[in-house]
Amino acid sequence: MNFDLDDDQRLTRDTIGRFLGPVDIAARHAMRQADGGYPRTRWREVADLGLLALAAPAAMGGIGGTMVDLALVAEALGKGLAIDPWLENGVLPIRLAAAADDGALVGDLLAGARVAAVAFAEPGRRYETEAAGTRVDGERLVGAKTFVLGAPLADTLLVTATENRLARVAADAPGIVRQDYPVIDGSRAATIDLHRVPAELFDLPATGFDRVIGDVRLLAAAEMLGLAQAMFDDTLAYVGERQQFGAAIGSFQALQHRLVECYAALEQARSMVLRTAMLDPATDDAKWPRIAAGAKAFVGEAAMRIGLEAVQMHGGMGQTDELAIGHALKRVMLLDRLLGDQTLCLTAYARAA
Amino acid sequence: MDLDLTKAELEFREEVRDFLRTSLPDHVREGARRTPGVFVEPDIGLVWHRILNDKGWVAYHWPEDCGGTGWTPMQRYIFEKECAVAGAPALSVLGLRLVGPVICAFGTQEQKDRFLPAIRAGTDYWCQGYSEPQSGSDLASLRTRARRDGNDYVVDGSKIWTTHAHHANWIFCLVRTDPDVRKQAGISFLLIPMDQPGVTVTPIITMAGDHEVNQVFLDGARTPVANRIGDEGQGWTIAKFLLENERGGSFHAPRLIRAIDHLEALAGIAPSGHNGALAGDIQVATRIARLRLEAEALETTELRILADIAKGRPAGPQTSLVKLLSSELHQRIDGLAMELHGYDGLQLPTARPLYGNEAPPAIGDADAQIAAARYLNSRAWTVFGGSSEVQKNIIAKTVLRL
Repeated sequence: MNFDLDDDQRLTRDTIGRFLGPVDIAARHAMRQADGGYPRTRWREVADLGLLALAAPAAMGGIGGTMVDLALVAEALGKGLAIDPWLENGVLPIRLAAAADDGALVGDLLAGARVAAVAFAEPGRRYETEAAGTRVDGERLVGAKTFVLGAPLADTLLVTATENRLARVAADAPGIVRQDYPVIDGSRAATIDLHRVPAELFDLPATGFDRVIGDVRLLAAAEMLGLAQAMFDDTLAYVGERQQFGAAIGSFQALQHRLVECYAALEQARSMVLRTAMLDPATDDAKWPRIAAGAKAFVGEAAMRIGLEAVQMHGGMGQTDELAIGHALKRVMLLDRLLGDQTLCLTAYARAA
Repeated sequence: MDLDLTKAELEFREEVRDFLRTSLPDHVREGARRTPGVFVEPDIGLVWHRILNDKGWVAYHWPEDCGGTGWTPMQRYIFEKECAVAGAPALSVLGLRLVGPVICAFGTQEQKDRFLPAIRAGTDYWCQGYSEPQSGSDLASLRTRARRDGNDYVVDGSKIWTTHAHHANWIFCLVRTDPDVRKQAGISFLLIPMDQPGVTVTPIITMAGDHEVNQVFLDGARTPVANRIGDEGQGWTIAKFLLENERGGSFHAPRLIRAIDHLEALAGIAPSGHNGALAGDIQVATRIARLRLEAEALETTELRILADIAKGRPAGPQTSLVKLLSSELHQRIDGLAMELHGYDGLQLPTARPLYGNEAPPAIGDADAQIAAARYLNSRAWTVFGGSSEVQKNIIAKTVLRL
């Protein structure tokens, strides 16, 4: 048994830490002004760090990182409050394309030459992952999608359709009506109406799709772990500095006990992420999505609790746009619901028992 | 013991309902519904404020000799409940609920004549200079200094979390007039005009993206000594009077119950994910039920306090209990509302306002567009007007005698 990072893992973590640097709120807002809410030049840097290749299989030109490797990346990105959509516009489309055996797309995506967004959610539904109202009619795609994260940024859309089909369409293909909107973490999403859109079609077996959903759920949990760590660290520092009633507020027992509860939740969340990531090689693909769902529900609850405590303990400052904790909390709120909220994920896990 | 309204109270309720039906403009109701912040902006709020003033009801809770209505506590409750049910906007508390009653209670006749009519008319717009960067929960440690210069005070310091300072033409401030006495004893209560070179307002944007609060810098700001309310050194007594009004001056349960009604309506139309509506989901239904029970209990707690007030017994620290309970309930309701919207609840528009012709289109249900912003802003409920931690300290000390 060994929980230590190896040299490569440590190097990756430190490299990500240097790439992200200290949180700079003004710089975040400036980057969000770019077309699509994120600078494409920065995406090239993410690719150059190897973070996209790490998520792609070696057989398709990737590095083929383990779930532990990927979870450490997600955690480091969370800890540094990355605005980079590594999970939703990196890992998710790369692994879907790989599952659909579209090696050419995987190659373009891991190099950062193309950006893809994945259209899975549908209007009028909730967090279910399978497509219901989007279908292939002839060689054309018909239906509607919503909450397509990073769509305003993407060259390529990967659209899930009924009967286990995955469609690859150009973002500017005829028949696509897109409405962009800002989401809670400051990024941009879109609704997409598909009016007989020409598409490249792939078969995506349910087991392959569910496997990818599981991967993304676990990595969402890992990113939330990093975010929760950042919020906890900032809060611990703040209660040591902030003076009221002639003492640091961290000297008050009422706050100390709540911080200890946050610390316990954080340690439990870390254990859950590591445990689940390490279970991956010994787990059937069929069981994986549920295990990952359980981890995401558990870590999401911990991260939300830590985030709300961080905001409360920062008082008025905690309500503002000026501190890292608010930005971290908003990203947690998105990840906590991505591919299923706590209720859906817990339900999935309960059925596995 | 009974909960029934008298015949006169029932007639009063009908009068209020009639008035709301005929006088509350649709665009005001819509603006209130689509405001993610705690208070509506003046473009909505002042419209309703002036309609109420024309009716003679805007300062209904003030003493009659100050322009109040002379309503019983039960009439006030009925009025607030009907306003909540009708979707009338929550008006800025700063003039009507905070400084107004202070001037009624502690002001001279000249001060009443100068300031109260302009609050009622909505021609003066007030903000509150209480918290400072280094003095939040520990308010009495405030450092903003006022020194005498002839017939003026000259004020130096900074105030923070100043709601609507960017709309206000007056600020009421707690200032230190005597640094050499016990910290509570050296504080005075000043009214300071905003339109002068010594006053600068800097916006503070909330994590939801709203501009409600500000930091106000006072650099040699001047105000006549005649604009001090009460005596020099009486500021802390006035501050506590005002804070009790802020915490307990209005009823929370009616708005909370209305918000829960909205949750139920929303659950009735939101998809469950298994070919039904969320209202049929037992987990959702029981969560709403739990919130409703808490709001109903809170309504009765508020009515018990009201009955005490009606019999001339002091409400005192009970207002801290209501503040504590209602603010956390607010957050839970807003949190569940956001959850019910699913992915649509994650939209967070950057444009404001979210009503009128310039508003961006909503994704999904119209209410989904403001759900996240409202939830994020609701985190402030447990901080402003004294944090939950401060309320608990007050209750532990003054109610439980710990």
